[in-house]
Amino acid sequence: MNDNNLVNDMNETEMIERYIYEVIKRVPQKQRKEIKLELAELIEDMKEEGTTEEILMKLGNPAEFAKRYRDENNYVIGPDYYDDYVWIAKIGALAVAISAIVSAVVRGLTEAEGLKDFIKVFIGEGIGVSVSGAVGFLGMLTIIFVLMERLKIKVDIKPDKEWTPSQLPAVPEKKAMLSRGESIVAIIFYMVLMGMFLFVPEIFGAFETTDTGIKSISCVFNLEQWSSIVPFFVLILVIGMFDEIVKIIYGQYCKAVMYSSIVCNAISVVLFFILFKCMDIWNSSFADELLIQAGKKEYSKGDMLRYWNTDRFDEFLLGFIVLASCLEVASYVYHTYKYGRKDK
Amino acid sequence: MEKDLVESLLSELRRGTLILCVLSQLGEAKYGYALIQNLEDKGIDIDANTLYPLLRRLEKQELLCSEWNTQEAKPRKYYKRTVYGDSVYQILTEQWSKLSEGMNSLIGGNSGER
Repeated sequence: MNDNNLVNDMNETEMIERYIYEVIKRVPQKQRKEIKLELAELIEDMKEEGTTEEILMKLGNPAEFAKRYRDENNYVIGPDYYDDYVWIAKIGALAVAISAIVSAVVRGLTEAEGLKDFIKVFIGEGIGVSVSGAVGFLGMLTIIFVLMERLKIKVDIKPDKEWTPSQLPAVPEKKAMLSRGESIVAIIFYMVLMGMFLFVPEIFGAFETTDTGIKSISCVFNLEQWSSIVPFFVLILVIGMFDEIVKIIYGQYCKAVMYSSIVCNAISVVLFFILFKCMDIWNSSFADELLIQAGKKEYSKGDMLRYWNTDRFDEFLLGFIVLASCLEVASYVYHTYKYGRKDK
Repeated sequence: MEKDLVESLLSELRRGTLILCVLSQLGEAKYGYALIQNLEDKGIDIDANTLYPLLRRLEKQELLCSEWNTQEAKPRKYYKRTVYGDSVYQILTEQWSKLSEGMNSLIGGNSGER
């Protein structure tokens, strides 16, 4: 009898401990200690109402209990962005699919020997790229939206300014709208490009046709150090996608889009500078390999290949990138002040 | 009638009034379970898993303050209205009178639609 009681007591204490643990593991760290004490007090006080089991039944599912302790808006992506998020995720699926097919075709053509092998390589590469592409894109998209969610809270909520109808932005005229289609095409293009950089970098190079298919002769990039180069390209493309997603969300010229364009272009230019100036991104023997392939010994006079991998070549490309970025930013600044919402 | 729907409508209706219920009883310090019983005696049912988080929230909003009393056998957390809580409670009760008057004229007596 005594033993039995003891066992029951142990069980009840343990049951309470377990219950409290199930609640506090779901609330923020710094509140745990206090809530633990509170719950212990509550359950102790309720003892006259019935057995421990009955009390815990009355308190209900600990997960539900914990949810009430947390602040209400603890979501990653809020209702404001949810539709855009789902929508862009669908575009992402399309982009990943295209990217996977392109990589699979390239792999299949360059590596496979014979039709059977081609199918094998094609399917293997296709599945591989689809899975890692889907996971990568979704992860990236989520990070971008979480950033947006946090930034939006900072940008949009200005409690010191009282809302009046005069703040209502004009319904955008057609010229002020940003084309969703262009952004979608851009995102898909970036994704496909990213797939190539990550999975089939040899596509950026020269090929020759052989009896068994197509063979890669030489890649323009320095594939030996590719693992330290490719993150820069990926980052540049992610930033580009971020910019496009901002455009889709706002849908028209406004300061948010303009700032996003300025910041994204600035970061990209810096990354390109690092790539060109601090890293050996080019395959230094690319031009020579082409020359050999062509059966020549020297470059002819006007041959552009003479400039391969020289500082001048890098500077020309960088200049082009800087110019293009400046033009893009200038265009956004101009359009924002001409047509953009002036409410922010 | 959908039972779940009625349940959720009822809990929505109750939710707004709970803050007033709790504030009304905390002119002097009480611990959580005493407050539950106190409300129950007056015909207001509130679940512990609603009340405890609510008390914390009201404390965070500085309407209540709390203190652990460790002098008794069981340590208990006592909640009490702050001065700010007093003034908010005052405003809420005034609004409640107006609201219940209005509600009565809408649905009480003979004028309500049946």
